[in-house]
Amino acid sequence: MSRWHRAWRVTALAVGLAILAGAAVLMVIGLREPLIWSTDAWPGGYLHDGSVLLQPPFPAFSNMNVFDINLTTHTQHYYLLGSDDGGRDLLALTARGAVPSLELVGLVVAVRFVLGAVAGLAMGTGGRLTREIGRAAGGVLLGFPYLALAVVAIQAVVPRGRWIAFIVAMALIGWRDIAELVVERIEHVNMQTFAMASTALGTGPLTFFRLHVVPFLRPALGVELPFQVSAVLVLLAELGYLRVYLGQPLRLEGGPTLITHPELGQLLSRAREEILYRQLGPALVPALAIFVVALGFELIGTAVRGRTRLGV
Amino acid sequence: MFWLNLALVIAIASGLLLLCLSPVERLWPSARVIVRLGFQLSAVLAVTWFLITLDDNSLAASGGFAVPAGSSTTSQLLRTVLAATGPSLLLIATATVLGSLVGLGVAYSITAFHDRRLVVVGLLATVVLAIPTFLLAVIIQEIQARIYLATGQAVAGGYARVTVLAIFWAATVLGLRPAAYVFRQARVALDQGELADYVRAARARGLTWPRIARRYVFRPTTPTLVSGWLNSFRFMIGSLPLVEFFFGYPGVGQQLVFALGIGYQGATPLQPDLAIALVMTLAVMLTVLEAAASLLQQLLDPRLRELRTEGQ
Repeated sequence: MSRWHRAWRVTALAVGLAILAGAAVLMVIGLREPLIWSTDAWPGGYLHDGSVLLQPPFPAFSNMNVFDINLTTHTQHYYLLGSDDGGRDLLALTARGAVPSLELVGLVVAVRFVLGAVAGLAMGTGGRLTREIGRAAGGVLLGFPYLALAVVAIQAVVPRGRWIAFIVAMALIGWRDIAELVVERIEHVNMQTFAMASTALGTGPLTFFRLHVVPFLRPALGVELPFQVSAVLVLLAELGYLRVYLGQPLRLEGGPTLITHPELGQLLSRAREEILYRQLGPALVPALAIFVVALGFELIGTAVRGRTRLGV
Repeated sequence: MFWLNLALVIAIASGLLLLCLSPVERLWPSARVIVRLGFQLSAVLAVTWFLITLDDNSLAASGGFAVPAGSSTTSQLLRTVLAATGPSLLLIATATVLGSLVGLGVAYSITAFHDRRLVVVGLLATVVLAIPTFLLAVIIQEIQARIYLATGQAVAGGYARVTVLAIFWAATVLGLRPAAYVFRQARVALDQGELADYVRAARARGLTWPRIARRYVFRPTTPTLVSGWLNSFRFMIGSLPLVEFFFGYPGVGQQLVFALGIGYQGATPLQPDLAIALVMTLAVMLTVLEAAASLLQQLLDPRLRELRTEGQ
């Protein structure tokens, strides 16, 4: 491996880890803020020096003396990343929103890996028919535009629960890549002379798998993991923008969505209106949070892949 | 039942082709691709119908509203789909050209000029891949606004209109992530190509690097690059609904989002027939291009052609 590639790999890993560490610190700070800053509405407030009365969304880095809807409670609060149009602190909101979203991402990635590994093992170790069936199923999914498939599948499975709907739909999209990876690794091992020798010596299938396939499979799946996390995060954001998200929004009777619950996809569901009204903060903070975390995972994936393979 | 019947007809036609052409050794490698395309489309249609019907049923159970299936005539559907297909094809073609030129062009340049400093472009590709598509669109809108503020010239090309500028901006957003993806795939393939024994042999013979790159690196990796390019195209078609929805671009993607019950002002009625027709339109684009890419790979790589013929 050239000096350039080694330097690139180490830098990417360091930057990726630093980004994730920074995001984790911000998330902890946000989660430590009292619950009222991510649940209660604050219709207005004075800048700390009392000179200017502002309506939300409050700008980033503003120290506000806010009041509640009855104009009774006055509380001082520092908005590091600004507020949404309900006066809620975007840092606290995004941090609380990240919890269910990251849980969902973790579950989706886990289901993708289980599905992909099982299908890949069946295709790699099974007969030609199994492989053809597996490839055909993957081929059908490839024929769909992924975002449309996710939306349709979520809407179809929603009566069984929103979490299940999201897990099923988002796992449906990415399992094939993992299955193909597993098949490719198994085929690679099967072509090696040590594998042929092992089979000739009468090694049983389970022992063969444990001794010869798993050591090749583990790093390949390890490399794929950060890329999958990043892809699922980006998909979650895109679905959120299309107003397909976990949980139910708070609505006025027959009216528009008022204030969203803390979940990243749901926070992004009003991005379109917020951008139109030039309220960029509430739209951009959750989107940037997703971007930053996805970038961290992408960089780690690139660095880890560089260990086994050349390329950027 | 129209959609199921159609799926069945396509499947039967593909089956007949399979029976008639599989014994003809000379024709089968190419015919196989078309037969596979038929089965794939038939399966996509059946799965779409199934999911949309589930979606429709769950909507009815929850008291939601949907346009009853069969309420629009085939000619109405065709008119809607055809009217939306033209603008979308224009947008996809522009995005494909832009994305391929940038992604493959930069990857080729890095190999051809052999300047490792250009590897920094890889970092940019990683960043772009981690950005959700709508965030890219927001950045592009900001650029348009800055240009307007600086020059007084409206460069957005209008909203919800098919103009040259509107196509250019939407195509830039649509093509950026696929460009980053194809760049990354191409870099891996070209880096591995550079390590081949015949490249080392060519160097030992004293050939110049541009000649080695052109004849011994680019040529053998082209089939792999076609496969990477196809994946990036899938990426593009997948995010088409979101990009068209964002820019209000009157194409298949935007119509599909509306047909699935997502509107700018909130929920809209689900239109099952239109949704299936539009998913199929996108699926046809994807699968036809996939078949064409598969044929192109066979044409470019005789080893692949032999392997696929032997596979039968």
